[in-house]
Formats: sequence, structure tokens, C-alpha cells
Amino acid sequence: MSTALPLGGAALLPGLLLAVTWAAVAADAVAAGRAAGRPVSWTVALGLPGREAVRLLVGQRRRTAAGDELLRGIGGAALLVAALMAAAVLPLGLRPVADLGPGLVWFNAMEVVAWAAVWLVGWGANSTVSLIGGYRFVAQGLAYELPHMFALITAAVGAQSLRVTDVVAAQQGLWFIVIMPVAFVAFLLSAAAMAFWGPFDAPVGRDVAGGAAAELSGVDRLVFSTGRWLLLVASSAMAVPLFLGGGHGPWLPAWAWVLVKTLAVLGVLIVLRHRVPTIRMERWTEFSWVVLVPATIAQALVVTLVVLGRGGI
Amino acid sequence: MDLRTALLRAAVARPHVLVVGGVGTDRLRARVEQEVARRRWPVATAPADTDVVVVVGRPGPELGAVIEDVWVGVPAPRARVQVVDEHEIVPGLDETVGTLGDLDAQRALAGRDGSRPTRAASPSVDEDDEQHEHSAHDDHGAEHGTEHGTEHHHHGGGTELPGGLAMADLAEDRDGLALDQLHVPLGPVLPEWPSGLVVDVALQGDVIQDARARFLDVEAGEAVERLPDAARALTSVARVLALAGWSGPAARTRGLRDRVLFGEGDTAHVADELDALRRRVHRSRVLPWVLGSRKSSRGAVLDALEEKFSSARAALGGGGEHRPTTTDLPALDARLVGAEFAAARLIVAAANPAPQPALAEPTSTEGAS
Repeated sequence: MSTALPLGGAALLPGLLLAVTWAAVAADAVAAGRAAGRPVSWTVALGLPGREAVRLLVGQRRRTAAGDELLRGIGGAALLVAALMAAAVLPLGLRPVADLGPGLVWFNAMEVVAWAAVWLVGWGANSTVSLIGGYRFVAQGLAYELPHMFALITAAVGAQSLRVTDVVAAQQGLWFIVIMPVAFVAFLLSAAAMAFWGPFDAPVGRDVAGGAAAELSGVDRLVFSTGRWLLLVASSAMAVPLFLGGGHGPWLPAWAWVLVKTLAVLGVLIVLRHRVPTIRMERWTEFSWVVLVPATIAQALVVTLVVLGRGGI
Repeated sequence: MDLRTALLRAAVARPHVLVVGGVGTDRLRARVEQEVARRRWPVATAPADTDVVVVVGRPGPELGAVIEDVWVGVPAPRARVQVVDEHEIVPGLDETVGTLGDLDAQRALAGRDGSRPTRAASPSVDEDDEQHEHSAHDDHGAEHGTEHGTEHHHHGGGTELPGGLAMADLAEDRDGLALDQLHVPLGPVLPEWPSGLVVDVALQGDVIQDARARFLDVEAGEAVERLPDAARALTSVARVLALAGWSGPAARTRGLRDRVLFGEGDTAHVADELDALRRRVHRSRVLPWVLGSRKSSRGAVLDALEEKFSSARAALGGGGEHRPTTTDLPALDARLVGAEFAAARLIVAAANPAPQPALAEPTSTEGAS
């Protein structure tokens, strides 16, 4: 059984996540420019994350009248911390920072913290549009969480373990995406939804003037948007050990395969964002509960039967 | 150049811009938006996200007060510029970069802690009077507000919180339950919102219970400059698409509008691109699914979108006769009642109301509820 990375891995993890985030922000800027018919060059786009970060670091923090600063601060920090904690069980190569027994449950628990975080940020600002944005995310959570959990369960059933490294080990021969494609699609969509990433960006939509983030400025906004990006990166990186064979692959070392696959998943999500308009929570709830929940349950059933047929459990 | 100045200059090289204009400034505003897009500067979503406030035209007293309010909420480093003529746009925007990167100027601007003062605590504040002529803040106590305007609406009988805020009221919701009701003005500073429009709404959750639309600083019967039909329709389409979260096609629509307004007579090409865009909107299967809300007969907004496309196409020539339908404010009020916030935003963008001298008396319109 593989074990956790040495302590240095824990120090490395935030840096790695931020580097991938940097690339994703730049790719998103290029994609946005292309969609708008006003191309942005890669050189400009690559400088963009740094520029925006400096802009927000220099920017003044702003308070709203009678806002709850404490709750807002807790919310913003929680989003960032939850994303990092969720990433702790990600195998960077074949070994994660923390090889927890119930790794999948841990990942799920950490990402659910985002519900509270976004809602607190929306509530704390004492502003109508922020509050609407915060509640939108809670409603969105109701929509995406069930298919998401069934997708996680399906991968766990396939590997007969909740430990993420076991899930990777089980895919040595065959990637799980082949035997559980429905679970993979459900996971990918819910990864976008949990990071309120387009087409699920209604909680921070333009119609509510930035929604939960509407009143954030300066370092508050930086923490919130970094947390959001890290959550997106962490959840799309999780698709790699769960469905895409983790570090398994020919020629390249395991860590390189994880990186390549993670960037590919992020690329799909970035393209999705610029192709599809925002899907409102009530619409998504309808689709999610009527189509995705039965489909993921059926998927879990099929995988269970396959595992039983092989003499597992 | 010391480190702080270097850092500040790097930070403000790509400022987020908030464009504010009153009724009748749409043409100049389009020019400003075009220039901002050309520089690849992002458009701010809210005052907190803003670095540069561009005031288009000469705002009247009501809008002037709102702009002061917005300005207080803009975090430093910040700059403000007023543009009353097309030739002022480029030098004006250039100048804001200088102001943003000037450490001394920013120290002077960032005197406060960034919190919004309440009405009572803020007699007319105007940090940079020398640039601006609109110092008519006598009516500062009147009820205006931005989208954050809960703090300024002193609703009769509402309990005052510390800071001069009004508490929510109780009222019956659509199922007859007593729930919190909040009186909020929507606009005039909201993304994708018609210039100078304010809708005073009563919200329960995010459902609008009562709506009263009005235009700021418009006298009854006053003639107001309007965009040509094609440009007007395209503006409306761009706003609907942007609110639907489809920013790519929205930006392309806006680019088309700019070419209709300021282009060098290449209308044939514009018409082709318009048709391509229209086909793309038609082909989308997600858009009708998300725009059609449960209550309104599946896709009133979608119909409006189609109508705008036809209207723009007809105005460009080659689409046959088409008279654009216009929405007056009482009709808008009636449509907004019962709508959810997201739907209401789409309804306003699709209706794109404008002051109509013959029809509307904006100050005395009555809601339909």
C-alpha cells in the first residue's frame, strides 16, 4: 500500500495548486477573449493573474453599513481553507499529502464547507444582491450534491474502498471512466457547480452585480476568488484519481500524468463555461433530480453488479 | 520610482471600469464602452469591484446624488472622470491611469476607511470638486440608491438599525404566509441596466411583490435623445445575453452595435454577422431552457429576443417592415410583479424602456398591483 507523501509534500501542495490555478486563469482569459471576438494574447493572459492579484492586494478594503465583518471574513477564509483541505487527499503522482482511510468522505465533507462559506460571505455584507447570491448557492447545492455523492460512491464501489489511493490502484488495468461514464459526467458537472463556475455561476452572476462577491474589495475579494479557483482546481483534479486512472499511464512519470490529466479536465470546464449560458438553479435542480439522480443510481447499481460478478465484496 | 509607486502602477494598468450615464446618454455611453473594450479593460460588476468611474454626460441632481453614493463605495486606488464629448473619452481614460498610479493623489482620495456613510452622517461629500460641476446635492436626503440601497430607504414605520438602515417589514407572500419584505431600489447603477432607470421594488426573498419604475432627472414630456432602432435593439439583445450568462455572444452583439453606430458604412457585412449571431442563438438548446421561466408562458424573454433581432435586421435593411414595440413604464411594472430577481432583470433588459414624452409621466406612474 502506498503511503502519504513526506511532510514536504504538504508545503508543496498550495504552491502546486496555485501554479495550476495561474495557468487556468490565463487560459480562461484567452478563452473569454476568443468567445468575445476580441482575442487576448497568451503573453498578456499569463501576466493577468499576477496583475489582478496585485490590484486586489493594493486595493482598499471596504465595509458595508452594518455588515457582519466577522462572518464575512470567516466565510472567505473557509472557502480557501476548504479547498486546500480537500486537495490534501489528492494523489500528486501516486501518493497524496494525507492518505486518509475515508478519503472520499473527507473530500466530500470539505467541499460542502463551501456551502456555508459562500452563504456567509453573501449574508455578512448586509446587501440585497449579496444575500440573493448567497442563497442561490445554497439552492444550487441542493441541485448538484446528490448526483455528486452518487458519483463518488460509484467510484468507491468500483474500488471497494474509500481510500483515494486504493481507487487509483484499482484502475491499473482499466480506467473507471470506461465502466462508469455516467458517474464521470455527473462528477464533472458537479465539480463546476460546486465552484460556482460557469454555466453554474448564478451565485456570482452579472444579474446580481457579482452576487455573493458584490461587496468584496481588496484582499477580501482576492481571498474569495482564490478560494473559488482553488476549489475548481481541486475538484477537477479529483476527477483524475477517481475516473481517469490517476497517475497510471505509459512513458511519463505518475506526477506528470496527474498534471496533464488535471489540465485536460480544467480545459474542458473552461470551454464549457464559454460555450453555455448560465443554468439557473431551479432549472438545474429539475434536471439533476429527474435525470441525473436516477442515472447515477443506475450507474452505481451496474458497477455493483460487475463487482459482485467478479467475486468482490 | 520607489517600490510602492512601481507596485501601484502595475496594479492599476488594467483597471475595472464602471460606466454611469443618465437618460439620453446612450450614444456617448456606447462610445465609452467601445473604447473600454478596445483597451481590454474589464467592466466592473459593482462599485466594490471598480477602479475607474466614468460619468457619461451631465447628470442631473438625482443621478448626481446616486453617483456620489457609488463613489463613496469605490475602494482606493480609484479615479473618476466625466465625459461629455466623444473627443474627451481617450484623453479622459488615459488620465485616469495617471491618477490611479499617483501615490499622492490616491492618499488624498483614500481618506476614509471605505465604509459607506449613512445619510445623516454625510452632508454632501465631493472629493474632487474641481473636476465636476454637478454639485447640486441639496436633495441629498431624497430617496435614491444603488443596488445596495437598502440603507437609504427609510420606509415608513420601519425600525431603524444603527447606521440608519431600515428593517424589513412583514407582509404576506404569494402563498399567504407572513414573510419579511424589503423595499429596495433597483438601478440605476447595475450591470446591463438601462441608463437612468430606477425600479423601486418590494422584495420577498428574491420575488418581486411590487414594482414602480421611473426615470431619474426626466421632466414629463421632455424630449430625450434615443439611439437608432437597430442600435437600440442590439443593445437590448446584448444585455439579455449578458444577463443570461452568455458573455461571448453578448460582447459580439455589443461589437455589432458599435459598428452600426460608428462603423464606416459596411452595413452588408454587419447584416451577415447579425444573421450568424441570430442563427447561433437559435441553435442553442440551453438558452430557451434557461430563459423560459415556469410562470411566464415559456419564454416571453425569448420572444422579445427574437423580436429585437428582427427589429435590428429590419432597421439594417433587408428584413422587411418592422416597427419595434416599445414598453412604457406601467406595463413594465405589471410584468415585474411576481417575477423572481433573475427573471426581472431579464424582463427589464428585454423591455429596454425609454422615456416617452407623449405617453409617460415617469414621476406619477402607478404599479399594476
